[in-house]
Amino acid sequence: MTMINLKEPEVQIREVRLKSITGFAGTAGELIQCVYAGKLKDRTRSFSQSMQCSSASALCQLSMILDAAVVNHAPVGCAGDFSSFHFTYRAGQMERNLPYLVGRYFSTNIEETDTIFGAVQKLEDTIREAYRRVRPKAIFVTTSCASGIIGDDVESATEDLSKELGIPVVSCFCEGFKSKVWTSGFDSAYHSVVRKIVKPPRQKNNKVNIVNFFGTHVFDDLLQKLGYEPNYIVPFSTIAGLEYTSEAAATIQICPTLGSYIGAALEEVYGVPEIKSPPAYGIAGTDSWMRELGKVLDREEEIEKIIAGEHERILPKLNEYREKFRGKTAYLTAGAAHGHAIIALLRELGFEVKGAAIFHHDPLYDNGDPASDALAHDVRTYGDVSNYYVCNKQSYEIVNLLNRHRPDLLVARHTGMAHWGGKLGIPSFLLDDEQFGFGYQGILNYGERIEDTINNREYLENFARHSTTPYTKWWLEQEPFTFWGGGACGEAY
Amino acid sequence: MAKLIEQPRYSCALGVQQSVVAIKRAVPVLHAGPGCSTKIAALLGQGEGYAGGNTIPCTNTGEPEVVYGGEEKLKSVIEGSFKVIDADLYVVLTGCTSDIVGDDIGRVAADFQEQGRPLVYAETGGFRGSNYASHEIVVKAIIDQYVDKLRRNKRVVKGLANVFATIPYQDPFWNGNLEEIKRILEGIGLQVNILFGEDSGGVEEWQTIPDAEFNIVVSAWAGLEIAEHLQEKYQTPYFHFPYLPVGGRETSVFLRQVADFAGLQQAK
Repeated sequence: MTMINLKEPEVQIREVRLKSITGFAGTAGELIQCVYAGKLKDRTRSFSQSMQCSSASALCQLSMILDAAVVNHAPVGCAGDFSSFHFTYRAGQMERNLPYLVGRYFSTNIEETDTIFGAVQKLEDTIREAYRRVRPKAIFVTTSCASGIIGDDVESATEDLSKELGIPVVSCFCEGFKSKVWTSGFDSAYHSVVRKIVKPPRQKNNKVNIVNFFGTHVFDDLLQKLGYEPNYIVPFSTIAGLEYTSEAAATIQICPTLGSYIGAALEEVYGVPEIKSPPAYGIAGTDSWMRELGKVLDREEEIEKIIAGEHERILPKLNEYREKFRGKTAYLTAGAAHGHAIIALLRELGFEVKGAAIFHHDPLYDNGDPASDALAHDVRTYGDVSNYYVCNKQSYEIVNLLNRHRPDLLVARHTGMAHWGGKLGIPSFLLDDEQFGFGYQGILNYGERIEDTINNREYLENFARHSTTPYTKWWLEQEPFTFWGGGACGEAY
Repeated sequence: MAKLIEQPRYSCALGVQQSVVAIKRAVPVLHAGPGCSTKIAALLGQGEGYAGGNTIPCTNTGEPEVVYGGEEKLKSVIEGSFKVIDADLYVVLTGCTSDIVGDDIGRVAADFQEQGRPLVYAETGGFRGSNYASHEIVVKAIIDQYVDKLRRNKRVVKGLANVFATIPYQDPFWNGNLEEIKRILEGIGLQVNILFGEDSGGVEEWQTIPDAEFNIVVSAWAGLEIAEHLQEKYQTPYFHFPYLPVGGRETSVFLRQVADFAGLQQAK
């Protein structure tokens, strides 16, 4: 069954396409059992806190392309994320020694009268003006709740403007209200890229696509040793660089939740093989990922040498860390597949993972291959994870859980999460560079960072003593899932 | 000519959630799409404050609420907010989804207000305007739906002034601005309701708004509507100073004009 349909302007949301869920409590093993028994059901919440939406995830990828512009067809508030992505864009240019570029993001500024009479004219004018101001190689149009509900025909407008301006003007449907799983927005962005930017291959080349956010370029050395060149997409690539991602020798995922759609689409439509092993976090994970990469790139011997050399290199230091962290407990909160990676890293370093609050769960990715199930890999390699919990970024539930579990360490992947550990006096750190923990060196990177974090307790103890909490005493005494409705497979705990 | 905005420096009407976060022990309760609050906090936020950022309750409007209406969902999130969040004032704010669909928020809020709950609502769908305009709307809503009901002594307190100046979070230095305005006005002998930020006094301070001898608006226009509203409602006169006084000379000009208006002696 194929999920990739480039004829449709809109890609289906994850709840429909992948049967993704946003609520589960049990053990990781139970969750996997539910998935493979076809018994996984979502949970609803009668009380909820603000989350994120698909349009930010779509912009997160599209805003970083070096020679494209983005038009956000929305009221001005939806452009609130322009500035933070612009910051990332500028910082990323410096890290990569790229020439100075100002982000090219435009809001159509939908107003009250537009919600009555429609805003297509405004959209067309904005696209023309964006083209006049910055002469981009392509313009992406991201939609909003407002444009979606008033029913603006964005697809026709972009089709017409493509002809008029002679560049791809591409719709990207990412209305926030449509999905509870905001990673749906990544799929929307990739769908627009594969549908309108990527061209059929002329011949194969020696590049490897790396689907990532804006992390460190850790793949350069490895791929060079193997005679291949990395092509980091979509952030900091150019339209020309994206056009021939179809010619690459393989696609690497740093997080299958991010790149699920584009990896599968490039393989299915243009035959670019996607590395399907869970990304290389932890020793066992890195070993099997490397071997698959060796097989796909036809470099099996070289890979075995690298594996052996790296094991020898990292084991002494790793054993020191394991000794230090033995008996310590950790809790983590992150998005789906990267959270699974952090579980592997913590286990590898000798921590007992007391629990995890993961934002959503994709039972299968777009490639439909159970081999990509990073959580199943964790459970197989390191044993079950108790208190595995799919939380949809609900901080009231996370605070309740942290207050119960009181781990020695909290690892968070998203801003706005780590400070809850601090307020409770739990050493915490926030790490948003996925590549930091990647591969063999990544385990040591994490070890060093963790050592730093847990050695500085006093500051946090003082911090906790002076912190206030907005949560009621009543709430902290309730079961964490008091507000849940709807039945999921697995025992509520 | 398109009315597009490149690099926006302000937010939509729902951006006023940050004004609520700036009131001590107040919490915004959003009836909006899932990403609105986070985007606003990304532009205007400075940490969570007491109950901002990820703590803000939100219905996270989805397709069912857009198709069938979201009043029930809002009701249950408000009920949950009272149980989970320890606050003195709950301010329900709507986003585009609710305002386009046409949910009757007033009816949902009325049920709670009739029970005497400290709850206020305002329609702030993003397309309605900027956070400057909605700041005035929400302050008026709090006065009309909350402060007015709790008015204790119906008499004017001599020398008490409400100040409406920098919009919280819109200016990154809002907190310092408000603290300093309060400090210098107290220096010329006034008693000041600053209402937002570190030096404010929470809902108890808000409850004395009707008792003020006069109001001071320090801003080009944002806040004038509040002062006019208070003049109409409680016959409180107001003094308008059309910019933020920066530097010694401007500060003296500001203080002398306020003193004149208040009829204080110009001894200083």
